[in-house]
Amino acid sequence: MKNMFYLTGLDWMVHAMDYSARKNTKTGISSQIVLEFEGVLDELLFKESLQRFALAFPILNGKVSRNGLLEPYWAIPRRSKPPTLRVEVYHLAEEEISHTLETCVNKPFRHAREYVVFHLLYPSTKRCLLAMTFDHRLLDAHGAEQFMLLFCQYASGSIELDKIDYTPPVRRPGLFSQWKKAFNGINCIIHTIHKNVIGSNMVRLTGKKSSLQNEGDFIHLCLNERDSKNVLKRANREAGYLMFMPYALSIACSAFGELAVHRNMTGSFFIPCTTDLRSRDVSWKQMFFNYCSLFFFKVDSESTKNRSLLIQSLKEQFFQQTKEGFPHHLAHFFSLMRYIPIRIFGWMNSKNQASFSFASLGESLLEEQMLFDVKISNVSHFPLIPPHVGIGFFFTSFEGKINIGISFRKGLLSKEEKEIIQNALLKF
Amino acid sequence: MKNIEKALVTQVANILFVETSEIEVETPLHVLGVDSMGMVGILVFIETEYGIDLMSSDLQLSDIESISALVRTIKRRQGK
Repeated sequence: MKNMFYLTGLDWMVHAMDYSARKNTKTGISSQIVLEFEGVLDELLFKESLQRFALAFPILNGKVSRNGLLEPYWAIPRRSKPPTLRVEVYHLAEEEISHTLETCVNKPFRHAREYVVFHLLYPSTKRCLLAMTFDHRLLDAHGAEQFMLLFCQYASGSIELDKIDYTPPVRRPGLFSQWKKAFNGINCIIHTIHKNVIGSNMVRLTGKKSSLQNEGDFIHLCLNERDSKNVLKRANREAGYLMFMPYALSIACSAFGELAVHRNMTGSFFIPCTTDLRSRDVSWKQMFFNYCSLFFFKVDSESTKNRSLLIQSLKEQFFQQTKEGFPHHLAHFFSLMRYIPIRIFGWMNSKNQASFSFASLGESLLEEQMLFDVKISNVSHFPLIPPHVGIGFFFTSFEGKINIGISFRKGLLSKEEKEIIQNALLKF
Repeated sequence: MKNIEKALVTQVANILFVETSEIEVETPLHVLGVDSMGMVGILVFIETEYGIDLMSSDLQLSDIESISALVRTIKRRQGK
């Protein structure tokens, strides 16, 4: 196993967001993936298997480091204790689940080299939930699903850890190796940023400082199969074949638009939308670190009242930015930012004017999976949103059911506004 | 017709990171594993290669749901 991995520009962007989030909230950019089971996991069996599994990943003991002013890298100590993964167990009532999950993701990691923590929730003798809280500097949402998928396969005996290669792909350190690529796309980046970000009156939800707390809050909506099918049919009809992402984004824009109307705010919405740059097949080599870039969408608040125009505008932006290769150019451009000290890059990041963040992760990798012969019945994500953005919408799907997650800073939305947003999302 | 089909099969295989032999031209794209990102990639390819903008067209599902359907649509548009 190698002992150092150079970070990419995307990794460094997450480090910068983590840095500014930590300054404001004491918690970095973490997220939580929650697996619901149709039965009950054996606590002892789970803990023992997990500790054996963790031994294969010394990367979990690493930390970011830098050679003077050169690129930052993930350093794994040559001599350190074997990695362990902490498991917390909760026996609780059904109605305490949401609050407990929220508490888990908001809890800071215990020390600087703790990046993954598990929570086993037993609300009854017939079912249980497993939440994995993870630090985004080491895993992104897709990587976290891969980590859980690998654990499921390891636990079932279908995969031997010493027979797979999960060493992250080679990342070249050279000072100038990525500069050419980064400069090649600079026109595209300037054009897109100029068009979508600069000089516009961006609508942003800002709460009163006194009411904002340093924690994330969540609304989780899980549609049943029938409702999910209806949503997909409408997406096909209104946005076109295989255009669920722009359709889901239009739903999020409309819901955010209703909040803006409620607060008498007009202007434009600037929406960074996450896209995964990985290959489609599961590659264990792309499990750790970050592979997500962004599309930048801009929507006029007035246009959220006309659904077909809104969808058309989002599709045009999606098409144009794909054609120009914007997400790839942005990823290369961020590689230049690795030379900027984290404090400055973190400060630059906190000045972005995003109205809300958005991601449509598609089908979960954990569909049809079992853990210790217990079937997984649903998978959902609870990401903590960077404080300077404040709110985000996330669409995932599991075995034909659509999950919608809204993540926001505690105190940002009133009770009435939470209802407005839920009703707006369920209208579609 | 065959050239367009071959080019689209290669494109879809590239998007899905699979061999071209694994791509059935009559199979719906969503069954092959194409998602929104992949679909836009295919539409960008068609616009770049054949100058046909299918993204903003008022198309029916049967015009774009498989590679063979896309080939027919491209030929029809080229014939206009």
